[in-house]
Amino acid sequence: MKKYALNDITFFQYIFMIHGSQLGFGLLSLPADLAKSAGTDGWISLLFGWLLAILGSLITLQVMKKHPDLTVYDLLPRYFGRVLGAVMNVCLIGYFLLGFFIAFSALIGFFKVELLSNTPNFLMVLLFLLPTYNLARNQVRILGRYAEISFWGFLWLSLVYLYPLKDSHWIHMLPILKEGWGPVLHGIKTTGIAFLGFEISLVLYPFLKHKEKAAAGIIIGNSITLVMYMIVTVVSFLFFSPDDLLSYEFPTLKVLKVMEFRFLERVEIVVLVAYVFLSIRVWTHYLFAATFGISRLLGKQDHKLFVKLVSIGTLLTYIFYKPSFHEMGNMLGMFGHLGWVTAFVFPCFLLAYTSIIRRKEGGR
Amino acid sequence: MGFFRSILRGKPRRHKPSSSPPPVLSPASGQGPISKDLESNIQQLQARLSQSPDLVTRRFPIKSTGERAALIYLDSLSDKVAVNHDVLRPLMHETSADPQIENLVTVGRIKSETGLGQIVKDILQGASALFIANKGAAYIIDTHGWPQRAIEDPQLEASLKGAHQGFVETSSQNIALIRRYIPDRELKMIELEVGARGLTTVSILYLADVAKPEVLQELVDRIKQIDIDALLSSGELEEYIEDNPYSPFPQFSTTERPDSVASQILQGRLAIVVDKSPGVLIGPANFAMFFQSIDDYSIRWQVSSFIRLLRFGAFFLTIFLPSFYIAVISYNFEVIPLKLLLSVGESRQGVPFPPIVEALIMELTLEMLKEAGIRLPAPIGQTVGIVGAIVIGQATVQAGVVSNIMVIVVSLTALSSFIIPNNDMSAAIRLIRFPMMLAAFVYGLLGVGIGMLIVLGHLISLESLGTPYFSPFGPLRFADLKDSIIRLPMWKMVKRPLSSGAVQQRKHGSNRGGNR
Repeated sequence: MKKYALNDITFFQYIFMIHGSQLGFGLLSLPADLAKSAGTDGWISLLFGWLLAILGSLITLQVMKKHPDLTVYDLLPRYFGRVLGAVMNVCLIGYFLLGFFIAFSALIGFFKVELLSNTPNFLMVLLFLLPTYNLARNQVRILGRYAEISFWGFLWLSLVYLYPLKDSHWIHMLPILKEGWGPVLHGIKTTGIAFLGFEISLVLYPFLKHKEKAAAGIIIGNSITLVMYMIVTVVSFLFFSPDDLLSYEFPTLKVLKVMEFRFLERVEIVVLVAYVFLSIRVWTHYLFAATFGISRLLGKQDHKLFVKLVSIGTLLTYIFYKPSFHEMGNMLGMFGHLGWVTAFVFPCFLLAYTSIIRRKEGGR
Repeated sequence: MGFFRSILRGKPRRHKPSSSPPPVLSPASGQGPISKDLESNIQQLQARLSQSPDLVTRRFPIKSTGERAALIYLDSLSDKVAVNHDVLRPLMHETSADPQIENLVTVGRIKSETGLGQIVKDILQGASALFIANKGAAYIIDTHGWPQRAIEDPQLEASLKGAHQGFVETSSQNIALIRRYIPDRELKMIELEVGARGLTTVSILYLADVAKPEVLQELVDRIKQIDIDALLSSGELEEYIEDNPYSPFPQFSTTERPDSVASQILQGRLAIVVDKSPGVLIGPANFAMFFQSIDDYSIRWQVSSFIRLLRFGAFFLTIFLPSFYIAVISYNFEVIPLKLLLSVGESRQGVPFPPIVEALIMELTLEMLKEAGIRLPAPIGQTVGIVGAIVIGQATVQAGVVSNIMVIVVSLTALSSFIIPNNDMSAAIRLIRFPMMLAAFVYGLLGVGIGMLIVLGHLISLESLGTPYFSPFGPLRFADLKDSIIRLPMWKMVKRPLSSGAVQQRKHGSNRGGNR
C-alpha cells in the first residue's frame, strides 16, 4: 500500500525543498568564512562542497530507492529490529531537532544584532515561532508549495546582487590558487556545512510523485544552492578587498550598503526582511522532519501536536537560556560535524548494511 | 469514504459525521397514511395547522363524478389565480368524459400523496391539497405563489458590459437564469434540503462531464451532514461547509451575477443555489478568483491585465501600507530617504500620539464610516459623506490630532480596499491590516515581514473543497497564471484551469489557428 499517497510533492517542489533546506545561515556568513579559510580561492572550495553534497545525496537516494514508499523512520526498524531501530530513530529525531534549534537560534541572534537589538529574546522567539508553527504543522505538500513559491517569489534577491558588481575588481580573484590547494581543501569544511540540508531527502523521498526523477531533482536542488552561494561569494570577493573582507561578519549583507535609490535608502534592510522568507524553510523543514519522526515513532497520524510541543519547548528554553553570538558560532560548527555524520556517513553505512543484508538473503 | 475525505483534506473534519441526523420534523414521524374518511382527514389536517387563519378549506362536489372533495391550501402562499382558474373552476364546473383528476386539473405539477406529514409539508410550501371522499390519497397540486421581487440589475456587483440581470430570492428563477447561459444537457443539478424547520432547497449545479466527481461528492457529503434548524442565507451555508472555519478569507465565492456563475460552471466549478437567497456560492474557490470580475473578459486584454495588476497591488497596499507607515516612522526610519523623512517629520510635528495610536484612530474611523454608509437608510446616508470628509480630512489635521501623511495613508488604504471586486475578500484584508499594524508597532519592518509570511503560509495551507486555495501561485501552475494576475486573450486560454479540478481539460479550440 502506498502509505503517503495524496500527500505527494511534485518534482519542482522536491527540488525547491532540497534547495530550501540548504540555504540557511550559510548564505550570510559564507563569504567571510571562506575568506578566512581559503582566501579568494574560496569559490573553488564551494565547488568541492557541492560535489560532496551531490555524492552524499546520491548515496542517500540509493538507500531510499530500495523501499520507495518508506521514510527513513519506517526503514530503520525494518532493518535493525524494533528496539535498535527505535533508538536510531530517536538519534535521527534528535539530530533534526538540534538542526531546527540551531538554525532557528542563529537567525534570531542575527536579527537581534542587525535589526532589533533592544527587543527581549523571548519576544523575538515568539515572533519567529508563529510563522514556523503556521507552516510546520501542515503536511509535506504544503511545505512543498511554500518552498516553491518562496523560491520564485524571491528570485529577485539574486538580481539585487548584480548591482554591487559595478564596483567590482576582478583583480581580487587573481592569481587563482595563489597559495596552492591547501587552503582550498581546508575551505571544504566550511562549504560542507553550508550544503547541509540535503539529508532531508531521507524523509522526503517517499512523498515524491515521480521517483525516477529523484536523482535529477536532488542534483538540480544542490546546483541551485551552489549558484546562490556562488553569486554572493563571488560578488563579495569582487567587491571587498581580500583584507577588508575579513573584517566583516556578514559581507553578504554589507555588500548591499552601497545601494541607494531615490525612494529607498538602506536596501539591505528590505533584503534582510526578505531573507526571513527564505531562511524559514531551513528550520521548518528540520522541524517537520523531527516532529514527523516523533509521530511515526509513537504511531500517531498527525504531527501537529508535536510541532506545538516543540514550539512551546523552544520558547521556554529561550526564557532560561540565552546563547551568546559566540556560542552560537560554536554550536553551528558542532552541528556541521554532526551533520556530516548524518548526511554522509549514515547513508553510506546504511547502503553498505543493506547490500550485505541483501547478499546474505540472496545467498540463502 | 470518510477516511478518503480526511486524507484528501489532510485533517479531520470539524463536524463529526453523525450516521443519521435526528430528524426534528420528518415527513412521516408518528403519523401514518391518511384515512379514507374525508371529514376526519380535514380535521386532522386542521388540527396540525391550527392557529393559521390563512388556511383555506374549500369543500365542494366534483362535477364530473359527483364525489365530495375538499381543497386545502394556505391563502398567503398560493397563487390565487391558479387555484381559482386551474383547480377549482374545472373541478366544480366542467364535466369530462374522463373523470381522472389529473386530466381535469390544468396544472403542470400534480402528484398523489398519502402521508399526512408530507401533505402538511407541501401545504406549508405553497401547494394545494385536494382530498376526495373515500380515497386514501390526496392530490398535491403545485399552486405556489409567494411574494417575490422582479429581476433587477445586480446592485452589489456592477458591471459595464456584463448582463444586467441579477439573482433573486427564488431558486427556481435563479436556476432558470443560469440555464439560459448553459442550455447543455450535461448541466446537472443535485437538489438537497437543509434545515429541519426551514426546509431550504439547496441545488448544486455543475457540468457532469467537466466537474471533478470527488469534489462534487465531497460537497454533497458536507451539505448532507448539516443538521440545523433553518438556513436563512447562502452565507450561513458557506460557514457550515467551508474547509477552514478559522480563516478570515472567504473559501467560497458569492455572486449575484448569473453570467459569473455560468462562466465558473463552464470552468468546471460547482454552483450552489440556495433558495431564499440571492447570493450563489461557487466552489472550489481559489485566491485569484476573488480578483476577477466578469467585465475583465469583455474589455481589451491589455487593459484587463493592467486592472488585474492594480487589484493585486491594492491587496498588498491595503494590508501593508498602514503597517509600513508605522514601522518606518517608529522603527526603521533609515529606510526612507532623508528628504521624505524630513517632510514626514514636519507633518508629524505637533501630533501628540505615537504613530500606532494615530493610525488606529484613523483606520477605525474609516471602518466606522464604511459600516455607517452600508447600514444607513439612503435619505440619511448623505450625511455620512459630509461627516466623513471632516473626520478624515483637513479639519482633523488642523486640529492637530493626526498628520497629513496619515490622512493620505488612510485614504489610500480605503481606496485600494475598494477596488477589490469581491466584498468578502476586501473585508478580510481590511481586517488583517490591524494585526499587521500591531506587529509593525512591536517589531518594525521585521514584524511586517513576518506578518506577510504568516499570511502567505496561511493562504498556502488553505484548501477549498479539498483543492488548493492559493492555486496558481501556491502549487505553482504556470498554465493557470494566464488568468490570474494578468489576463491573456481568451483564445490563449484553451484549457480549463487546473485549480477547478476539471476532468475535461480542453475548453475550446485555438480560435486563431489557420492562416489568418
